[in-house]
Amino acid sequence: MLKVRIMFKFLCFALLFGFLVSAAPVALMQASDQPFAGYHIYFSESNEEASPFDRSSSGASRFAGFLEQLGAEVRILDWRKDIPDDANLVVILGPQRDLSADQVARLWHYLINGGELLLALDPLEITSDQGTQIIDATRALGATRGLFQLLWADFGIRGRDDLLMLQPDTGTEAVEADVELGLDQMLSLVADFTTTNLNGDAPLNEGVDSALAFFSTRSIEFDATIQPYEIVPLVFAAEGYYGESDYASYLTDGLAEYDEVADTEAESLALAVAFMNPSSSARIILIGDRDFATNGGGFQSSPATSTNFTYVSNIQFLINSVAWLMDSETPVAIPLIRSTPAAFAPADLVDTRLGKQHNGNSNGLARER
Amino acid sequence: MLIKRYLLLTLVTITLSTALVIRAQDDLFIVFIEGRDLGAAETTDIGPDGTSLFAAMLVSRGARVERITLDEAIPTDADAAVLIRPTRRLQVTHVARLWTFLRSGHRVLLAIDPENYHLDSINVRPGLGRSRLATLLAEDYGLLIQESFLAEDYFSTDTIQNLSTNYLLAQAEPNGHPIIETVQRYNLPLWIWGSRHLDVEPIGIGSTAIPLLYTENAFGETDSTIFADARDATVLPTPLEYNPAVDYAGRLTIAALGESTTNQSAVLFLSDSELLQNGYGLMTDGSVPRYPGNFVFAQGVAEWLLGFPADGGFALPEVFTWISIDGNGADWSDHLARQPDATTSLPSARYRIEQYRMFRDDQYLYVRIDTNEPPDAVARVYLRFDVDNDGLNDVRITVHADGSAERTAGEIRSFSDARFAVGEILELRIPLRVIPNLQRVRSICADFIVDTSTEEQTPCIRGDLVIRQAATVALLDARLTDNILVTAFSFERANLRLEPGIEFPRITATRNGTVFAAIGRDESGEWIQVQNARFEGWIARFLLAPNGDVMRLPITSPN
Repeated sequence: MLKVRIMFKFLCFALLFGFLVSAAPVALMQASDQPFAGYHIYFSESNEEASPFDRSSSGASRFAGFLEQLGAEVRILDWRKDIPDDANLVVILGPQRDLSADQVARLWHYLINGGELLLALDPLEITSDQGTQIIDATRALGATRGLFQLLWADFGIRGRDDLLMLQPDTGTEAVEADVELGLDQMLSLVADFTTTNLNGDAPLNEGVDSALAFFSTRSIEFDATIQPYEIVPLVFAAEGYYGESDYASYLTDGLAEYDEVADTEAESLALAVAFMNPSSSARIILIGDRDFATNGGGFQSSPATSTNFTYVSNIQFLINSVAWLMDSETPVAIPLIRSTPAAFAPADLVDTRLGKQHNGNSNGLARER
Repeated sequence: MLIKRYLLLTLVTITLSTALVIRAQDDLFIVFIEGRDLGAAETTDIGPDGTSLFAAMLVSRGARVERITLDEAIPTDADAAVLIRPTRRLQVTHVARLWTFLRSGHRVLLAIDPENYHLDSINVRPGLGRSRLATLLAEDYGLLIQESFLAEDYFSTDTIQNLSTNYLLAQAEPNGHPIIETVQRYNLPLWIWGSRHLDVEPIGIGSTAIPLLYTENAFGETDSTIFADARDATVLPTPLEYNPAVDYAGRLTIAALGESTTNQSAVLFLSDSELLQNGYGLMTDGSVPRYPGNFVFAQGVAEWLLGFPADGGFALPEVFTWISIDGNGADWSDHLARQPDATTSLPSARYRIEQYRMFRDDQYLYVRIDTNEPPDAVARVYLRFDVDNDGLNDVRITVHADGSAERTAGEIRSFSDARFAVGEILELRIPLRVIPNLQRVRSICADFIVDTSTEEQTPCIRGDLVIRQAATVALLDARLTDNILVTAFSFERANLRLEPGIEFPRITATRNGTVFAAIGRDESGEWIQVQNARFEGWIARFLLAPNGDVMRLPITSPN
């Protein structure tokens, strides 16, 4: 077992090295104009969301920095009062505990009255106690309670209680992981991936021309039949990924098996969805992954201290999302120039670990930690 | 019996709906939040727990009333939403929908009982704190709702387990707010059946708040395990007792209004839902509201929900005696005026009695005295009565300026529930039990406080002074405000006797629901000495529902 760990560390090191040498130079360019000038964007922090002032890998300071460069004024939401009238957008990036009922009430009032929300989810609540990682199966924003109870009933969107995983080639064979591997390692093997499976009809995806990276994500359920709202799925997982509902035991026991009753069927699972109510002008974009927008996830760069961003499409997608949510002029160019090839080949991680070849446009990735 | 009771309530609902002045309130639309998931009181329930009478008040004012659930958004064209007595926990979705409606500039009336409060076979668990509705109301409206249960000192663990023995009185705050202005003007007590309390922050960012009702007699018990667990009879309730370290005391607010300063929204919070329920605050005896203060308050609440229409206040039920003892004679009928036949006032006296008016209703004798000019102050007023119609003065009652009074008829007895006010006129209200056989008033005299250096003669009116018998009902019984209360509960009428024992003469037979102040007991506790403005006597304990431990009453039996 020790050998396995050593081999895995070596593999990661090799991959990182390869990534570093292959990354093209990136140069930051000042935005020619500031399309978000005069807009106020409020971030929630009170439920341990990714903070715009947190410069660590789990923070969202890079995302916030881009918004500020584009002219927006970034503020922190004070949940002790109603969401301010001057809020053009509320951003909630992966709360680690449920929004309290009073917060839901204030948010709901804001949305009903034409508010705009960018909401990203976190599939797992993982805390660390003296080096031991603790998985809490009771995730924030459960599909059938609180905010999602309202969003599903009235708007027809919610996050499912699952974690996207790669479906085994055969329905009977379990995805087996080595339980002695670290938690991060197991997650990165099956749940971190890229996808180019975008809705080409959505103008919001304009300029998103390379793969989007996800780092453990929940699938998004939507009911586009609900009227008079408009719901547009934006991003899908590649074929073969299903929503594992019993992800907690997988992480504990190292065993996952597709359960056709409990799990979400591997069928074009949406990872990001846009909602609009034409009458109130309320707009929501729901993304199944918090790390899609964190410094160490979708905004990671290489070297980490550079502006050499690895997943430019994540940035473009988020800026497009913000622009659409705030009904700003679109498209909005990312204020940087870069040309970065994919970090590594798809087969390098996922299939090596599983000992199988997986063909598709979803790639196993590694998060910066 | 039950059907009969419901039929009666239906009749009363219809009667009250049509008896009140109908005013057209175009487009006024009130929604009542109901539904099984909340277990709230319902407008279609004409039983004691229902809110059909309150809904009828709104309908009688021309409003459209509809029932909704919080499964869907509250209609935005509704002017106000009402939620009375939710028994089940408010969910996140409920709070969100309610809040969205409120913050969009609407009015919301919430009447929510204390947590874990016992109600028939269920424990009321609205979960106000856990639902975070309390947080929102505190932050945005200055209404700090407390998890408490108001109990008088003499309440016991047994008496609080049942609504029929769990009641106390509240008063209106003297701030003149239109919701309670009438209640305050007539000093009407309100009956409440199990209440929490709330603190009010009068001003804050984005809001102002004003208290409306309060009590000073109760303390706020913070231990919700004082109630029996309806699901587990083996769990014994914690004894009810005041703990100064954690319980509340002093002037405790029972109802308050919070208003936004940034939009038109407002929340009226009542800490006791029974205030507005058919069989409690809006209980009627025939067509007469049993609790006038509650009835008038409910009308004020209804007017508030409708935005206080510009065409003036609401019609007061004519069945009551609308006399406020405040020195202002505007509420007296002109046709009651009588000129004195004779007066002993000297022509040189500063004050003369110009006229008097006097009548009695079911509980009080009301006296008004007009002088030649408004007196600065009055020391006392004497009334001499001929109680046996023999032409002699048998009883003299003296009412002092501070409201204290005594009766002299062989012995001197004091009584505390007379009222006396000096303003433009002199006004008195004397409980009829003090004059059991009121026949004639022979004279009325008043001592005016004047310069002591001069000899001022007391002006009087003498002769057979007319007492008109009014068909109206007294608004209140002041004797009830500071005592253990007992309610007569009997399918037949409960006999009130002169002494404790069935062998003693019967004074009267009281109807079911009559409330008395308990002032004493016999040694065994089987007989309770009771009093109200009209009667005084003894009733057998088993015919009474007391709101406290009657064994804590003093032994007053002569035996």
